[in-house]
Amino acid sequence: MARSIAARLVLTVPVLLLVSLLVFSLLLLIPGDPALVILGPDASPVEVRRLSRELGTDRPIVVQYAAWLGRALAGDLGRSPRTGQPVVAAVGERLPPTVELAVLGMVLAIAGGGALGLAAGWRPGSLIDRATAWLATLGIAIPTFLLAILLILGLSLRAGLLPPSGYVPWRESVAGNLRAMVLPAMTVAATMAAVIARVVRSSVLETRGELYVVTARAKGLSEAAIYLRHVLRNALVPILAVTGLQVGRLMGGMVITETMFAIPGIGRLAVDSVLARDFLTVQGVVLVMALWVLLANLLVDALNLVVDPRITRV
Amino acid sequence: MSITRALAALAAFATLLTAIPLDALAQTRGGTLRVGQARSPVSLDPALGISLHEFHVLYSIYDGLVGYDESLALKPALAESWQRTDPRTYVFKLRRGVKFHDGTDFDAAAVKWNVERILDPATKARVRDLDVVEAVEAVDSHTVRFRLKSPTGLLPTFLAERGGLMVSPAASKRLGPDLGRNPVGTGPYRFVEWMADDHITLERFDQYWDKGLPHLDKVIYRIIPDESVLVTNLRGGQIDYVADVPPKDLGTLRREGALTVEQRPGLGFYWINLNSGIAPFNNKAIRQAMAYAVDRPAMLKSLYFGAGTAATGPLAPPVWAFDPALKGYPRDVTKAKQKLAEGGMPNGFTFKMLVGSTPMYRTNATAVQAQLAEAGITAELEITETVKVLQQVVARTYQASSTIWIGLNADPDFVLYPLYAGQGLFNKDRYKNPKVDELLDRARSLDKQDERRKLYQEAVATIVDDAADLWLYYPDVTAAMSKKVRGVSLSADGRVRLRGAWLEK
Repeated sequence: MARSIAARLVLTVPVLLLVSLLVFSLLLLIPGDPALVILGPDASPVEVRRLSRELGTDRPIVVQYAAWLGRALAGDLGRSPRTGQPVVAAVGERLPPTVELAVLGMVLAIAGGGALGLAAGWRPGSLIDRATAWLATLGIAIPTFLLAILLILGLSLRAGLLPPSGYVPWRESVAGNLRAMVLPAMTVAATMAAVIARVVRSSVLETRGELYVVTARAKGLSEAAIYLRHVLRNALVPILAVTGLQVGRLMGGMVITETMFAIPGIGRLAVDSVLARDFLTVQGVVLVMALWVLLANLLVDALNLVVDPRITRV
Repeated sequence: MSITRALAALAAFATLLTAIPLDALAQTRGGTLRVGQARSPVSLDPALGISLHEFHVLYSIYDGLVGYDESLALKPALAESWQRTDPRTYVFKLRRGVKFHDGTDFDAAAVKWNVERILDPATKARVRDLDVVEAVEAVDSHTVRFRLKSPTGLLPTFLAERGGLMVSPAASKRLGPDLGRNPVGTGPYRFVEWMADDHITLERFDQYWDKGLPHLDKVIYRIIPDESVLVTNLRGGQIDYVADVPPKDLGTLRREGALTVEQRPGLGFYWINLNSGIAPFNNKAIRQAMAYAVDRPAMLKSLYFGAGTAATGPLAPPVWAFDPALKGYPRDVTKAKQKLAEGGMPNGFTFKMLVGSTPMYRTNATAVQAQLAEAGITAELEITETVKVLQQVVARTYQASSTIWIGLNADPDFVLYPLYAGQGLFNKDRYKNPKVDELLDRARSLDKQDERRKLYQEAVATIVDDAADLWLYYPDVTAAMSKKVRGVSLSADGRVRLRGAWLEK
């Protein structure tokens, strides 16, 4: 098991390389000369050319990529021509809020979606099953920005329970941090919880009909024992797979959630940088996001090995 | 003493009384002011940023050599006085006893170093006003002489803008490119921390040269990118002050009455930029047809909730050369059709309008499109990213684009020269009129406001007659704040100045 995880870890390196190459070529397709964007509409063509030369954007793409890669391997992702800040620092300071939001959102989604799915799957056709179906449809259908605004208006402005937006770092106040994170985490979790609820429900339903469950019941095991030991464990495999896939989607939804709740995270940095043609920063952000998705999927695979020992043999 | 004279004296006395700001009598020290804004500064190095909203923070950290009063007239700041000794020479006397936040002294050497830093290509400064400076000399420890490449009366104004905001030379040498994240100036507040995309914290600078100021202990700028969430935070009391309130919210906030709402005419305008360098807009009659086809007051009322003034030309009311007698182009579809015939296109024409991703650009473009259609002109909208628009505008391959002009200050040169002079930075290969060129050049070299006003009004009359662009409306400058916020100055330039701000207990 350890060996297969190690092999996967080694594989992340070429994947990251490929991602960086892909991002580099994609950025070329976006119209808009970075030098022009930085200097603004009143720049003279001479200045634009001078800045292009300084940025290296006037050189062939292969040369640009090689130069970037050489420095990146030494741990230097460059300095943003827009803000003058080193890319590593820019990404580093925005990473904690995003990671925290992603983790809290995932925990909330798994707990909420999982519980609803289990309940619905256990008693198909019951009131709770139908309610779950409704909630799941709503969760998948509602746009993130709308949900965010509704949560802010309802729970913050009307009820006054939580702050409407903002971020409080851990070191300042743990309670403040969590209070500020409740609404954004709920927003991030909504879609994911809905998908998980649906998958858990169908997975449980399917497993319930398996012959080994019938056997367990025939042996006289209590319903609770059947559910926990047989149904749940076997239903976990597809649930884990879906959760792994959702991690990538989560990062996408993060951009809007961060904007709505004024959280200084990596999603906003990504959008701002793309709009300003700050390619060095975009490259840095994408690498970190890719690494995050890879690691998350690796973790899911590792958990699968624990849950389902049969996988090792494949 | 006759009764009339007594009355006149009484009236004079009454004016004097009202001239004393009541706020000045009851200021209290201390407290934290939380300012909310939608966009984060990109850099707090005054030479590097380009956006208007950065001034909200810059003005707290830095002082200019020259400052503005409430009506945007120039007033002394770090320079106590200045004199134009000949058309190409200015001498500035500096204030004594001014310290930078890092404890170093502000003197003539610092001014020389600052100006040379901006002129040095290695700084990559976006500020270009000071290109007119040939050399700066420190005459003595507190006197600076500027030699200019060409005669201009605008140097003091240039030094009230970004180029005049004084950075600590010691700090800049120490920090290099990191200065933008660790600004050091002479301003009323000193930099404490900047959490990217979240907040910037400043604290009172105890050795500020203007004794008694500032009143606040701390200022926090919070970045809240979504406008509705920003306003929600203000209503909920999480922040105390917001500039640039969305016009749709102004009415509601006023009705609710829990906050103070400020609103005054601004310097900029929403407009359709016409490329008069190429067809069809190289034809004056065609441009005039466009001008007659658009209903500006209706657009202002329905699209911008009336928070502004319908435009008559390129100068907004707070610009001192604004001519209230100027009529502009009231909507007249019949006249528009006549002008089309006169321009050789009696059946109308089709053109492409670039629209950036800002929602207001799109709203304006759609309304203009519908109104032009009534006169037989077809506008095809190309809605795309702002950067892409910029590229085509710079390359002059565009026909028209829906955008905003943000007025920097109340000097008409800052609008007219870049947009309508043959050599203007935003105008090259676009609008050309030798008469306008001559008027603008002459006005630029003078420094008496009355003489300049006449020249500018004549230039504007010509530019408007040429219908050089489609000016739509001048949006108001707005702010909303908690009732306890006092002394924040919001001028027509839309910049927030916290020097004299205080909080009522």
